[in-house]
Amino acid sequence: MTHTPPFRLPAGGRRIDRAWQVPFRFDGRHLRGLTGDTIASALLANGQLLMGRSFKYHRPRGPIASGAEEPNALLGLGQGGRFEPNQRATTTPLTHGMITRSQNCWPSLEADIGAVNNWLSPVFPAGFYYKTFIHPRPFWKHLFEPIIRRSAGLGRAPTDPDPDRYEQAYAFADTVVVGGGIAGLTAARDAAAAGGTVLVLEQDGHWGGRTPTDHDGGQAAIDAALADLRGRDTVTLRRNTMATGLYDHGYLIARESLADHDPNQGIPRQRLWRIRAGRVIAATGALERPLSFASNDVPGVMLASAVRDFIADYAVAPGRRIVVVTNNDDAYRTALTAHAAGLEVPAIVDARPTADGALPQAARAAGITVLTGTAIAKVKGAKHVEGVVLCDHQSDGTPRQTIDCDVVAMSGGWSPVVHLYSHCGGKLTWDEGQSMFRPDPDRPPLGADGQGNVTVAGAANGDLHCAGDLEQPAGATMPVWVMPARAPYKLRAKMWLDFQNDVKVTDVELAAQEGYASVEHTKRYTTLGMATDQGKLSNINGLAVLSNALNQPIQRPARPRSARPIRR
Amino acid sequence: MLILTCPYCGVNAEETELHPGGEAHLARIGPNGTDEDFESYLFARKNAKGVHFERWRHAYGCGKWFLAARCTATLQVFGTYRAQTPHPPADIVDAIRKARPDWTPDWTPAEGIAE
Repeated sequence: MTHTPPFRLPAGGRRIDRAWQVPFRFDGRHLRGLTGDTIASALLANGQLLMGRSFKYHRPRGPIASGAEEPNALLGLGQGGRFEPNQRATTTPLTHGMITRSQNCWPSLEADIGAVNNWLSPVFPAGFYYKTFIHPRPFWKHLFEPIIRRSAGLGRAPTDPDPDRYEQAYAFADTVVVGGGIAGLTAARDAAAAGGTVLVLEQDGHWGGRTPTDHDGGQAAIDAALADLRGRDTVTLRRNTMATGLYDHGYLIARESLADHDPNQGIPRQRLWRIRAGRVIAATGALERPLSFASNDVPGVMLASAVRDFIADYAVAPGRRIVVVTNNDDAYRTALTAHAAGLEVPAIVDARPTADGALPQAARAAGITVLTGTAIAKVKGAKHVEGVVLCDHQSDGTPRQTIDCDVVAMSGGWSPVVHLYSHCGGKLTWDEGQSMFRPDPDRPPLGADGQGNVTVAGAANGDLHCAGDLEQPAGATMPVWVMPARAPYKLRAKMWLDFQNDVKVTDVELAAQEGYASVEHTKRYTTLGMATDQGKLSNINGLAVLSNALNQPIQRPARPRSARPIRR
Repeated sequence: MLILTCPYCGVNAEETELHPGGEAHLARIGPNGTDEDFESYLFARKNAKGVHFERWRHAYGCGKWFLAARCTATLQVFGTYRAQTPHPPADIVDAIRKARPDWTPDWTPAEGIAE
């Protein structure tokens, strides 16, 4: 099935203003977006699904996510001294006359010579250069290393000095709330009511997180909480500010974006905040996990939440026929959103044997086919999704039927964002019921007085229903680490775990087979989670595959420590 | 970035105001000591994971040296006290014992010089 216009939906779009068009350039082409677009939504609205090439095999890639966890849609922005490589298209707001460029491809994004690496992928398994280039000895210095160095690195470094100004600032607060979603705003209101100064940081330009997109009445709840907070003298609200690291005794570093990519404002571009927090409430939310099925990296395979965001927030249809594949109830929202926007949803593919929660029932009532106990055997298509081949989940991938579609919305469950909690020594616990690591309330990071100084609220604490009584309780998430359950090697060798660094299920299994039982060693050997997305999408799935290969429970190999600073 | 309270001026000083001075309570080995003791005094340092005693100077404040008892693993600070003491005073020892019941001092208080 081909990718057909129009890509901008006739109605909707919470964040865009259709009255104001914004011209920009992508690889020399003149395109137009709308005020409020991100680069990713503007490119999708122009039918540009292909946004980058993967690092190792140069496979064509489109956006997977709609936020800071995006591993694929990395672009070079600007020119001259203001050129900046590896900027996420999904978080960078579109500005007038922006110049954007795709990376890691030559001569062009569509026809990339480096893609021969993809055909040669059987000879480039994990750690191949540790084994392959050993003999003869002098060849390393004079032949192998120069070639490898030339192909290493993602994006080009800018050549001119940076003409922008930056500034630093200090702040002190009794309570710092990180995250401006419903959980963060509620926690801030409680903290302000209890007394003391409160500082609320939100990484995005909009308050509310996922709540306005996902819940009826969500925007009203957010507006009410904001109105209450704005009426208090002791509360400071700060948007476009990302808390990137928590250090000893409540020392929090944050980056505020002031005039990013808009050099004509005459103000400093970014501000570095050094904040002394009495205590920190991390309401950082959760990130959706991808599912591992064959060819899950073809442009058009996206997280279910991202498909929902593009439709609801930017009125962009990533495609006209959307197949949803899931192991939980939450992804049914994507099917309902797409259906309501007039897009086709030929089927919801659910790996669980039954799906009887409120959302699946709503989907059935809307006339959407729900296939339970079913899995995707493989995705058809190379530069964009053309269809999916389905099979039973408890099988070895014998094809059962084929469905034409141009987008696959996948959801493998949600993982709490626990970086701030882990930075200063907070420990995590494996939540068997929800298949996620969440903060262990008994082992928090400690302050100078020996008491925990970080608490976690909302989805970051594993409470995925904190948006309140708006929802019925959802059906349980079934852990699905490989899809279908007994997939043979041929399929596992096409299942991507780390999209940017091209780490597949078989690479992690190879590492386990070669004795890399520790997750940190496996990470180093396969480069799993070492890309600029810092493993936000890949760590838990990779850990699960490693544990299965080692026949250990998932909590056995310790989770890799979160690195500071968190990158945006 | 640690925050330590200066016992002289009472300021809650951030690490940028302080200058670290390494391990506390080192006994000076004089001219009559053996080479081994002198070498140990010069070079051998504890690298404790847990309770540790350190010298700090309130460099951008009152300028005085003081000592701090803290946990190197959890960042908990048990207390700070003045530098003119050969061993941690009783209130610091009590504070550590309260937080770490299985911790025992590695010195005998009797050999300490009366304050």
